[in-house]
Amino acid sequence: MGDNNNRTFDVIVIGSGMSGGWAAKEFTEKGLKTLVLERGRDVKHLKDYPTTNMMPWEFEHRGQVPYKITEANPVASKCYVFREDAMHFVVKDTEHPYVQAKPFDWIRGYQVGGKSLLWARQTQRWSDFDFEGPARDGYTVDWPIRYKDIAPWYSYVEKFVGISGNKDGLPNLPDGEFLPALDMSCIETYFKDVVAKNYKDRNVIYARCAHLTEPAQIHLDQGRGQCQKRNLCQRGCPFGGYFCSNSSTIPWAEKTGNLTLRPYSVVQSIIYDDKKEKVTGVRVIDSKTKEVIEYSAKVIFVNAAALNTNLILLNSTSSRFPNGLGNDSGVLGKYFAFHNYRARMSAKYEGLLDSNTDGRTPTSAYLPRFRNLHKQETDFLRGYAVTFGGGRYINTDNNGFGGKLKNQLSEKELSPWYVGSQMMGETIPKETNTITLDKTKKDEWGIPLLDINVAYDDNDEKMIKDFFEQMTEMYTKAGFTDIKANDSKQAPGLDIHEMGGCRMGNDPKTSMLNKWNQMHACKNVFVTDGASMTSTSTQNPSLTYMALTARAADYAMDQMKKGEL
Amino acid sequence: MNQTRRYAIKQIFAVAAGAALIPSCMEDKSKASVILTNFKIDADQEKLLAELAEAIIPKTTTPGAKDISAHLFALKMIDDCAKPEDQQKFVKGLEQFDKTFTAQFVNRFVDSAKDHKVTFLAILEAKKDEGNELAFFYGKMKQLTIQAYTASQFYLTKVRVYELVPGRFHGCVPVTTA
Repeated sequence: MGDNNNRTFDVIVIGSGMSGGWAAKEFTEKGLKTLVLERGRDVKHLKDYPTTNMMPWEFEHRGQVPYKITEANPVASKCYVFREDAMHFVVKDTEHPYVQAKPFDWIRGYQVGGKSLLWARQTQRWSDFDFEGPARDGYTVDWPIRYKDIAPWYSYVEKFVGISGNKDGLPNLPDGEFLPALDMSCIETYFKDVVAKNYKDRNVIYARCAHLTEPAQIHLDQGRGQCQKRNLCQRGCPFGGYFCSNSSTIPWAEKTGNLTLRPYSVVQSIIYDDKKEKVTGVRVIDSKTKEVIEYSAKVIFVNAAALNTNLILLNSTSSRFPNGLGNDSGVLGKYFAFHNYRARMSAKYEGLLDSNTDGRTPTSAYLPRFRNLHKQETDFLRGYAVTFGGGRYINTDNNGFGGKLKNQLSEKELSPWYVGSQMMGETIPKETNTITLDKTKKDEWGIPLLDINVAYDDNDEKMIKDFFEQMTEMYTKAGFTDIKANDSKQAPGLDIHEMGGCRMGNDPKTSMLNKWNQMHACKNVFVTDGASMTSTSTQNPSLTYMALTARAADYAMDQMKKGEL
Repeated sequence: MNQTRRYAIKQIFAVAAGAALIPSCMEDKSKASVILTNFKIDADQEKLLAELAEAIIPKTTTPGAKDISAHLFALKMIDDCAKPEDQQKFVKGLEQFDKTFTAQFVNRFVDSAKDHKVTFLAILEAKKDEGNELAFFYGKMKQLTIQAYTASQFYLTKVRVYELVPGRFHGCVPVTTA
């Protein structure tokens, strides 16, 4: 920890989650004095995981959230981790209100580690089918980078994070630096074979995940150990078996002696100096004392998570930038996008009855995008990836009462296989999907509320229809029965993959950031979280945020050395 | 279903409708042992819930509902996790359960012989989809008693063993009939 009274640093990183943790690690490792600002409380690895070793019967409501809490938190309650064991890591609705011009479920984790404590830990690389998408298909602006630019940084990040996976040799889902994969289950292997036999361009693989299946020295050096297949990750892992900032990048940065971590620090704005023509620091409101404090640094990394990054930039106005920091183009807060997670399929399989799984797996099977991959072939743009998983459960007959019921409850007869899939659809960034500052409403720190105006479109509806058709066909070929389609109709946001608003691009007239995630109009500011994404791909984005962050930090340090920043 | 049982069911639910009209303040009430925030029950009702839970999951060679205080768990869940309207339905259904039983079998449920309890619960099982307050109460109480039992330390360490730290995943193993 650095000196508490010092207010001048080499670098300020806003946010301590997935990408902020990486910025902190990269800068402190290279000797730069770094201040990490976190708006929530501190969460120390091991020490602040209060439920991590609790048995099911030790939870007062056996996992269920009390009615009063559910009623008070209509948005947070929709999130699958908002259960008795992990709801303390999810922001309550009243803690930081926002305006929903259209329904949007904003799921947040205001604490050191952010949502990296809670993520689904899926780490699929993006490919040139993703980075070249906008240019090929004529929507949004071209990405300023290609796969070759980010590939070495994927490798760099993967080695430290620890990714379990197989080398699958697929151009649409490039291989990485993998720790051994766990088994696929019998039903996953069976489905993989059915799909391989029936479709030459569809591949069911083991979904790559940020779990230490066999820790390497670099992971042991972080104090992390092997994944114990508890599947209780959302509580915080006592083994450090999955990657989160709390168990990995933050303590790593702390060990260098170059990190100052400041929780309870709500960033009000980034300070632009008209004379110096650059940013000089950050204005912070202490959320406990309401004291306003200014910190200065040569370089600012904005990693507040996509929506709050937009909020901070929009609220950082000056005579040079009256519409938000670096916003000469007027695109700040526009072209916001997300992932379409509305559609699911489920079914039953009466085969493979002589086999089952043993233990638990933190991942599932994955079918990378196969639609419109090499050329446009459907009436919608882009495509979707699909998860596949299944299991057998103990059939329990709850009929009757007394000794008979009690006996039924101890029977161990297994059900057939139940399988399920979820669509992970790319959405098209549109100018009309906007994030703005509310003109009148303010939060308790006097900062305008975010007004979120984001919706699905016709492309999303067509994609859902295609997913149902294609999955029905694949499930039917596999001999699955009882095939059911479910459209949750959930609002955007619940996918927790919000992206854009401060996109990268080649042209300063139509984008905010250059190919190094550096602001076109204000060179000492970098945005490397979800806000920077030009398009959304179908793959889970965290790995890409981490790689972009490490790459941008390396560039920033190079520029600092050259005296450019 | 035979004719006698069908008649009995008809009787019970006719009485249930009337039972709601009997003023509850006529009986002497002592306080329940648990403190509830959103509704009240008295000591007799608490006892009834304990006996009902035990009738649903009885002590055999292994612990039953009373041993794990399943009725207290059920009350906690209704108090903390149920909607206000469901809390009211639960309490009304509980009152009806008591009165309906007594109207049919003279004794209170808690003082009755096992065969009377069994007859009554069999009727409630047959009528569990009726959608009235008595059916709601019975369904909820049964569901929460089962939950108390199947999420109890006894059940998860002796019947179906819960592993906090499996440490393994085998994707495909032969099914064992242990």
